[in-house]
Amino acid sequence: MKKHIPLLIIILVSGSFLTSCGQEKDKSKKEVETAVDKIDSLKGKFNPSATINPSSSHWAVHAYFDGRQYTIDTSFTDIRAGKLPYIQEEKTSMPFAVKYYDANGRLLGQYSIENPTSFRSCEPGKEAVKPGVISSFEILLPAIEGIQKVQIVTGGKEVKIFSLPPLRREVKSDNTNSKPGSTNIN
Amino acid sequence: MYSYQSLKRSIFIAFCFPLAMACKENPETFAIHSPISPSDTDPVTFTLRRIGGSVSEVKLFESVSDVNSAGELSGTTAETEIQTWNSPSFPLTFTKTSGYGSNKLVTYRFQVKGNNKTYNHTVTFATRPYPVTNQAIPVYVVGNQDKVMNLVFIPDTSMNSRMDLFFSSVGSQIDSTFHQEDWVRRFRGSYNFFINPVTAIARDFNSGLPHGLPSNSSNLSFAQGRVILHFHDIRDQAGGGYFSAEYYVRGTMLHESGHSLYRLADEYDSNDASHWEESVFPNNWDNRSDAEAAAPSYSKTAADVQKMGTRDWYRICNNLCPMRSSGRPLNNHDEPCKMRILYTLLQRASN
Ligand SMILES: [Zn+2]
Repeated sequence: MKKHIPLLIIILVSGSFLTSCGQEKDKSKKEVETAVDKIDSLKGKFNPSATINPSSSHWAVHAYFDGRQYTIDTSFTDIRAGKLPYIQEEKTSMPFAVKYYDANGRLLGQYSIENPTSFRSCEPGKEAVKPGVISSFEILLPAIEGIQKVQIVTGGKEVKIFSLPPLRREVKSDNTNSKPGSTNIN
Repeated sequence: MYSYQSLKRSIFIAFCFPLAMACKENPETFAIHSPISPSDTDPVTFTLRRIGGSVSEVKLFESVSDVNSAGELSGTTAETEIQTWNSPSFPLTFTKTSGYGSNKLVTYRFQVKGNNKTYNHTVTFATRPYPVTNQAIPVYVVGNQDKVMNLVFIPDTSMNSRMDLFFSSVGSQIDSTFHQEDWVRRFRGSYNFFINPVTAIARDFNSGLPHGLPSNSSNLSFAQGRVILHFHDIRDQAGGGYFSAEYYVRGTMLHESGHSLYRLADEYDSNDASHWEESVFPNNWDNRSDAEAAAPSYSKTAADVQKMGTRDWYRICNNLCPMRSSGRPLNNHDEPCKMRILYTLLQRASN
């Protein structure tokens, strides 16, 4: 979680020194160059493969909200390509937190997102949120061994806890195109 | 949580142990190709633009692979130099007049030299049609999907009869939004852009209905950002991990990607806005004293701290912050948002 902090400090450090050189304008350029070089060294190569790589995949579980309560359909579990798209947090900060635990109740990880049952529009001076109107959504989890319990926390309170079925790594990504209203453009 | 005091200590130490670092300007450039999603026969023009610095030499290389329906590559050609510019005058362009053919993944690399530094822009794109069934089509990808931010452009059904406009809009959004904002454009290795092969339905916020998701939405959950580009005049909304935008707007794209890629909170004055305080490098604070304490870390003062709405939420960014506005105009990010962006890009690359 904190491995990035030293690099950010180095970036700030190099920037500070350049300020002392009297080249304020170069400060942010040096900061960026250091970060860009670091990211370039880590970014790897694009992988077009549609095959699930067990070391780089995530789970999706179907969830439902009836306006008051959450229901989880653990009979539907889908494994998908790519790591969990969310940042792991030491302390969750957004409204909808997902925390996952092993069989001993040890916290394995957690993240938070905007409430998936709501949608919003960012326009100052107008109504901004339609809360609790999306009844069906997905909860994503990292495809790692050992997740037993998953807890959903909103507004600082547990609103749901459920058990996750054993990981099934052989499940392939969904290649169907069955929903109405979609058109293939390719 | 990492405290601002610790950060300031680190900076102080830096002054005590100055580094032998040259105070010179290195070249900064950015690359793009057009059309962004070429057909098998389309000529492709590669462009390199300069932000600043001196460039002594640029070379352009290409390599082409066959890609099959499973996304497997074969027949990858050796990387070939296709153009050299000595003492270049910007912008640089080179057009490959013959198309690349179908079922191809093309990788090009601009090698840029200047100020005793060499760096590369390596970009990969697919030709259309893309054979990997129901997967997002890579139109400008630079790294592994697990290490960079991924943004998928999805055509609204209103784009069905305007697909040329959709494709050109995606190119424009990459070039005129992500390559326009001063801070974002410099992170050449941090953004993969895709086009979705199936449509979605962008709905008006005031309809009370959420967006209609594309049929292959399960193949898009790897992405941090999913935007439905449309031709309507509607009040755009974000929900369920998707946001909508008119095909031509820049400010909405920057604002909403601020939410979805970097978890930036809103900075406009409304009690209904989306406010939260990140534990690391926030752009919202839930009390004035914390915001005032953080201000010097961003070369700001307590006087820069502004309350948002009537509730206890505070910001430090200037009034032009993209998280403070939306719509058509595009403004540059201010320091707190810049640090948050840098943090998330490094976090993504490091894990
Ligand atoms: Zn917003």
